[in-house]
Amino acid sequence: MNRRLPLVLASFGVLALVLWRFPLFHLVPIRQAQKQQQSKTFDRAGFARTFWKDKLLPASGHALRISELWTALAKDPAAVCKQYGHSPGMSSVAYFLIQGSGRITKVDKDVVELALDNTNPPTVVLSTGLTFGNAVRDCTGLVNGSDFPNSQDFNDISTELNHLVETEVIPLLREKAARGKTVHFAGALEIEDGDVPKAPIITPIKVAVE
Amino acid sequence: MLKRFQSLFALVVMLIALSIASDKFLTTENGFNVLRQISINLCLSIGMTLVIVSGGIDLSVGSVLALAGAVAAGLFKNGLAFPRLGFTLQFTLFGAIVSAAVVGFLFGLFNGLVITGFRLPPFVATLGTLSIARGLTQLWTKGYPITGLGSGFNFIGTGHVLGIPMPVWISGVLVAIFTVATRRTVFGRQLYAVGGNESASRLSGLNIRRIKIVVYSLAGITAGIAGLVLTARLDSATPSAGIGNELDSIAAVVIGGTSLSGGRGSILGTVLGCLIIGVLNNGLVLLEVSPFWQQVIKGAVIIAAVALDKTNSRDD
Repeated sequence: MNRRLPLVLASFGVLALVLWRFPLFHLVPIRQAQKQQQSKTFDRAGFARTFWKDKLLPASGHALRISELWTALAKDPAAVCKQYGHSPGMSSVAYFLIQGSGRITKVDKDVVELALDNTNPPTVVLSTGLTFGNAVRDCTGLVNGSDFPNSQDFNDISTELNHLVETEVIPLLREKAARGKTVHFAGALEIEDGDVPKAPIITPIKVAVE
Repeated sequence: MLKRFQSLFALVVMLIALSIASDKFLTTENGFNVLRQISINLCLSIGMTLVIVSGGIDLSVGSVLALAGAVAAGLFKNGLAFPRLGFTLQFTLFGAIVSAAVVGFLFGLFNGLVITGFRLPPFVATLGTLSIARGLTQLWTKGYPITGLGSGFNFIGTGHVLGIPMPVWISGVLVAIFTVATRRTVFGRQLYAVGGNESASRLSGLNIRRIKIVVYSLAGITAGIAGLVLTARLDSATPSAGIGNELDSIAAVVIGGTSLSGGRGSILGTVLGCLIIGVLNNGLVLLEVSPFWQQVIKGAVIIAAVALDKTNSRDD
């Protein structure tokens, strides 16, 4: 035991030195730790609001007109989806940011139908029910999934943007929509597998009712 | 003589065949890809080799991997709060690494104590520990993945040093340590003696109980390190991590020439076994073979390896 004692003591000494240089943990007052946690958490609502205000709404002013898109889709849907649409990852869904104007022909619980004059498509549907999916997030291609190491944060942005549509756009449209009125709109459109619908359903991002 | 090199021969044949079948196979990038992919299984298989050579088995390594990864991630990200005392233990990266190894060690120690203390068959004891560890992982994570660990933590799984991925470095260091330990130390000789003939070893005066406890503890530590690497690589500690990994590690050990009845095998053989499985997986993906057929082929390779092992045992 006596022969081993210096070795044991030396080992403990080295261990103590290592732990002093590379501590296993720090003692942090609980309030300070909670503040640090909050600052690390991704502010999805803040990100969505900033994106909405600074990028999405300005982009909607330069969006593709739906009539032009429909003319192009009639010729070669796959090529148009690839050129003008945004498809995150390896998805077969293409999202478009489009704008247009039309006259209200029908107001229902979850939809407002518009007739577009002398153009294709003849009818578009503005969705006024609950908003799901990633169309609003992905229609501009300005939000890149690879910028978010945590994929849950990327998903949460969709949730927040959909919430903004439900709280800031749809109530205004529902309040003012009536048959015969004209609506100028910009919104997100989803086309899956190049399958062009007859009456496209658009998630409105910006509306003005006359 | 030829039997000793059958795994190496099989690997060389596969390398040649896949190089001919796919031009993407024999590239530096793909090579590092394979090494990175096998590194977690290799960490697990090193510990499993020790256990199987000693005549046992450890089915809990997959669950211990998940628990160790989850504990490391949780302590690093959230710390350990003591609200009544008014402070939090905020773990450093070094602390998280040590915690993963400690969790693995504790479970390995538990396995060793239960198997030697109650003389339970290792299969049964570690089956129980598998369930305990999995349950504790669910409790610790509350069923949700722990994500967003930061670049410092993730460097362990995704970083490079001198152009070589960190997981390859980590598994390489473990291979070096345990190859020396099994070949050049008294412990190594005792390990093979116990696995070869436990009764004779006991009569020779070896402390069987101590050797087995050490073996299972080391297997736990390597499982803990594997869990740390996997969590860092995915930037996520999921409650379902490691499911099925124990079977992959047993397969690699057996394909590498370790006998399931104990007393025979080597760390380098296990490395070959992991490479064979890794190269097979990689090649089948490059050849665009259906994932379902990949499972069938992998199973067939395992059966062939075990059959060969049985034939070798009979000849010996």
